[in-house]
Amino acid sequence: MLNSKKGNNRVRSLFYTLINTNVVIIALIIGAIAIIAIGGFRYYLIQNITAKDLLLHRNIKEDIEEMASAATDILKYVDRATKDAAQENVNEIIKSINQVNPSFKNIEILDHNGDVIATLPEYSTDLGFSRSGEEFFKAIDNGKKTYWGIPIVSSTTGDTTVTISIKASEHIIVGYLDLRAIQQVIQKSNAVGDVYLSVVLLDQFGRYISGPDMSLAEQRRVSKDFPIIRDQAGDLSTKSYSTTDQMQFLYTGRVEGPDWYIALYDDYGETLNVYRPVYYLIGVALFVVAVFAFLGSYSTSKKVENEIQQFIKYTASLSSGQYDSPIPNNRFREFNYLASNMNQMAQSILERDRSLHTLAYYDSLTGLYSRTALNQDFLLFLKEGNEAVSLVYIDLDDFKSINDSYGHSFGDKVLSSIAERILSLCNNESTAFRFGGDEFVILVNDSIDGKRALDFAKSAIDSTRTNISVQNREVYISLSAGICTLARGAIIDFEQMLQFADIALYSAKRSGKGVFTFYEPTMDIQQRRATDIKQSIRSAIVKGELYLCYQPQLHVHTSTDYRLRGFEALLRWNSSEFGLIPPAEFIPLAEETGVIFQIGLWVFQEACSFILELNRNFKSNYVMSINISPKQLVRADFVENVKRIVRETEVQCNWLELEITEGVLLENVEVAINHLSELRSIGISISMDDFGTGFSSLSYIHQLPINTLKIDRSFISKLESNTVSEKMVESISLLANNLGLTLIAEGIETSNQANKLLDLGCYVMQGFYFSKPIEGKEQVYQYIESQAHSI
Amino acid sequence: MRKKRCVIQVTACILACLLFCLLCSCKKPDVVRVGFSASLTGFNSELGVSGLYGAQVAVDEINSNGGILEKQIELIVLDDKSSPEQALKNDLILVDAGCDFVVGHMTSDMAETVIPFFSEQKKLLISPTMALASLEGIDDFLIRLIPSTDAQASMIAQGVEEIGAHNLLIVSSSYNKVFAESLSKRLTAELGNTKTSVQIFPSFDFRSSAQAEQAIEYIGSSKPDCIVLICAADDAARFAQMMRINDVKAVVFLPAWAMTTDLLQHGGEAVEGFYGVNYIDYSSSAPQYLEFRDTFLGKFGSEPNFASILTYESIMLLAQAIEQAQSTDAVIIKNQIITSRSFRGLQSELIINQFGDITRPTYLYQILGGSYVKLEEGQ
Repeated sequence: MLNSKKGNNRVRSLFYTLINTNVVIIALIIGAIAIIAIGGFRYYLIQNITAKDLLLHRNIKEDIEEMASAATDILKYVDRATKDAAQENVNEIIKSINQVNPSFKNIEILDHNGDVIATLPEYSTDLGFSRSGEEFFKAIDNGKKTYWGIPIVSSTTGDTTVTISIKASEHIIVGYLDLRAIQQVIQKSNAVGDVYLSVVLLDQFGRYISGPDMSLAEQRRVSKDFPIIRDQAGDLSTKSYSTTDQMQFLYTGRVEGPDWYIALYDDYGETLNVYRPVYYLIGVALFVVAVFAFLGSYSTSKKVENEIQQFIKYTASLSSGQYDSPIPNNRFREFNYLASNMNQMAQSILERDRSLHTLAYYDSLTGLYSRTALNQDFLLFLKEGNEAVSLVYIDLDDFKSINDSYGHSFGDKVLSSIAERILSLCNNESTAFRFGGDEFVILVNDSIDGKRALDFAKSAIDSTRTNISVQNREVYISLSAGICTLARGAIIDFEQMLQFADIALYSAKRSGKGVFTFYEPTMDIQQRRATDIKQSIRSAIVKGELYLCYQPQLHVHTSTDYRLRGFEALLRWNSSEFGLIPPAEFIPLAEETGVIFQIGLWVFQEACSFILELNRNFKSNYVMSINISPKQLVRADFVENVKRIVRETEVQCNWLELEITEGVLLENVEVAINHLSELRSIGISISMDDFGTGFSSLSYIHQLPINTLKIDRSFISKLESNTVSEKMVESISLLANNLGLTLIAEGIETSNQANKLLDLGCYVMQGFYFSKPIEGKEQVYQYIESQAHSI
Repeated sequence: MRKKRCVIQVTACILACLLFCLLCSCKKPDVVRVGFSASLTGFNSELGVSGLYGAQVAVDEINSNGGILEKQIELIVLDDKSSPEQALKNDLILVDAGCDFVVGHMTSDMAETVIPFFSEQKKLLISPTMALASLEGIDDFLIRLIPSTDAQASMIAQGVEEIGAHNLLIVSSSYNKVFAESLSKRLTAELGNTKTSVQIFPSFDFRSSAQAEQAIEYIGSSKPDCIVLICAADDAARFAQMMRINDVKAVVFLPAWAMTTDLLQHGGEAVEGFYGVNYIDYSSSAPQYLEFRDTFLGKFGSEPNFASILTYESIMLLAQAIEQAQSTDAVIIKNQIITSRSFRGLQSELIINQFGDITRPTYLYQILGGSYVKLEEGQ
């Protein structure tokens, strides 16, 4: 994971990158410091050494030159001292002079032939010796005033010596220098006693005259550095030369007079080695610094890594949904900023989650729990201690019409009001949810008989029996409820309970709304049948399974004397799958699925075509009453479709009568009025069917452009036995008469009912007493012909 | 993973450093070490010092031409202070220092002590000037660039005969006594069948004035026709000075031992007319010799003497043998030198026999006008 490759860039560990980078930087810095410190120290040390050496070299050279000059002076002094001395005293004079200035091993005075005529007394055996073969004699004899010889072994002393000879007034005086004396001069100059310094004196051929190792001079050895010394010496100049052999500085020069070479060696490598402890100290100090720096870097990098690891853990917990553990503050300000921002972000996420949760969990309109809460935490809402759980599924009846009539804002307030009432009915054993739209679900911890759910449903339905006042407007709305009660152990999941309650609700709706129904297993069958019918109804028109029955409507004089007014077209469906399905069953389903529009148009088309055919054939003006569903009426294209069909079928509008129910008032009333007015304007009659059974107010009835009122069969069926029904029919008859409306009664089954109605002023009737709905056009033709014969 | 890689890298670096150090320490030396041991200080150090100068010229010349077997010659110099004991110690030191070859031991008195050592160690001694006759014809680890005393004796005997000397006095130094005895013996043998009678004065310390005066007194009283002075140059010069002071005159013959510049310098007028044997033709016009002479003069400010030349030839002979044998093993080199049989010296072709003894021309010189003047050439 740490060193994986990602694309073209190598992914590295931050910790090790920090360490490596810091180590490199530390190493570079330490190295630079070491180089500068040690190098600088070494440089200044060498500079100091060089300056000191040059000074010393100059001093020694001057001392040697002074010595050489002094040696010459001694010989000159010998000459002066012995010039007029008696021969027998000369040797002593030489001795005394040499004692004062013991630079010479021996001093000889030679005659012009080169014979020794005077010498130190101890070498008196050499008196008379011929020095004519010696180079110094030859040189002086050839005109030199002063001659410095090369190192030779003295035939007198056996020591290695260098001769200095001068041309004296009458003789040649030669001194045999004591090389140790020269060495002493050098040693005296180097009185500081720097053990790393050494001075060598070489003749003009590089032979040692003096040096730290006098054996080299005694052996008349040639210095291996002589070529360098000679080349670097120049003309009495002093130059420095650095060799790499032993880290030595070599300062060379020429000594005036003897024409010697003086070289000062400074084994500065050894000198520098003296300061090696300083280097070690610097090295140790830098090493310690490096170690501490590394440790510090490691520690800091580790701390940074730890902080980042904390962030990694924190972001991991964030990604897993844990927002409640903020990152604590740490020592790094930048991380604190980051932590603060991340904590704020987490808090925002948490709050947003909570908000979202609240939004998801609670319905913002009503404040009730939401459908989401119910889906997610269904089981959490179930409390322990009860043997069963009931789910009350409440649906507001015809709520859509309120939205359509008064707007959604009004509708929301209605919902809020309903929700308040529902919520007020809840207690510790019940929890209310807004399930969506106009649906509510209440979970009730119940007994196995569902008593609490029953009470709740009843209370809820009763609570809406009073009008709801919203925005100074009174609204009447009912609700239906389906209840499902299951033993706790039988509960599989929420969806199952809801499905059962939904079936029960559907049953309640079909039972008339404003009621509640407990789920029964048989409802499943009904629900399934209703679903199947909904599926089949779509293809009923294509399959030709739909057909119309025509129930005669008659002008009645007496129960036995009546004349055909026209027919009411009644839709029938002979399903190949289900057989004959009552209109009361499939019409609502058609309305639910929206197929009702297609069916309605087909019915209208068929009815128009048939009435046209009948009236043409019988040269009559029979009226065809056609039922129109409220949903169909308020469709935008309804009037246009009616006009189109009228045009296409060429039916006369006065032959048509559209039957509407009071339920139309639950749809968009204004649109209904407009459509009906337009249809009235072209001559189509409008009949209010099932008058008295709906919940319309008279003001709306007044606005509707109706021609006819049809008294619902429920009044007729009780006409004979129920005074109230009789009074109702009488009232309706009076109303119709006062409004100039035609009154039609339907559902007449007996002559008594017919007679009664006649007494009550209702003269148009239809019902089984006169004729049940006629199937088939041939049968209608036969009926009409039979009626014609009976007149 | 990363830690492991770091460890590997660091370990590799350490191992590389150790290997480098090991290789450095195992580096073979790029020198051929040659020892030089001779008397370099005090009286009679002339042979040693001039020999060293000759060796130095040879070494510088070889090294400047790339060395031998692509190696430089390192000359390790030790002073034996004219002591056979010190000479042996020096040889031990030189062998311990890695010298398979030693050039030096200029006087015959070292022979008895050092030659067995070289034979035992199987290291090679090349002596430029060890002339002892008893060393001839022996299969040892000694190569000599100088003929034995017999050659000198023959030359001296010849010279003595030519001057018609009837009596010859041999005066020799107690220093390098074996040489003196060897030469005396041979000389006596050479002159045995001639009219010249040989008398040998007991050897003495020429540095002792008293002993020297005794000898001079004897010479003065015995008045030999000629004297053979068997001693070093310094001693010969001093003795000559004393003879001159005491006005003792004689014809003097000297062995090559004394025939150095010291004799001329320190002898001065006292040695004028002396005869001496040498193995170098100072008047040679051989280009190599002239080139060597010029180099020597420029380097040291003095003329090379026979010790310088023979030592130079010793080094060159050794270098040639190493190059030919492609080896620095002493045994191989000795055999190489012996089987080569000849060597081109500075002035002539030199013949080396199977015992490492050499044959080269011998010259008789006389000191005239403070210089050596060649008289005769012998073989």
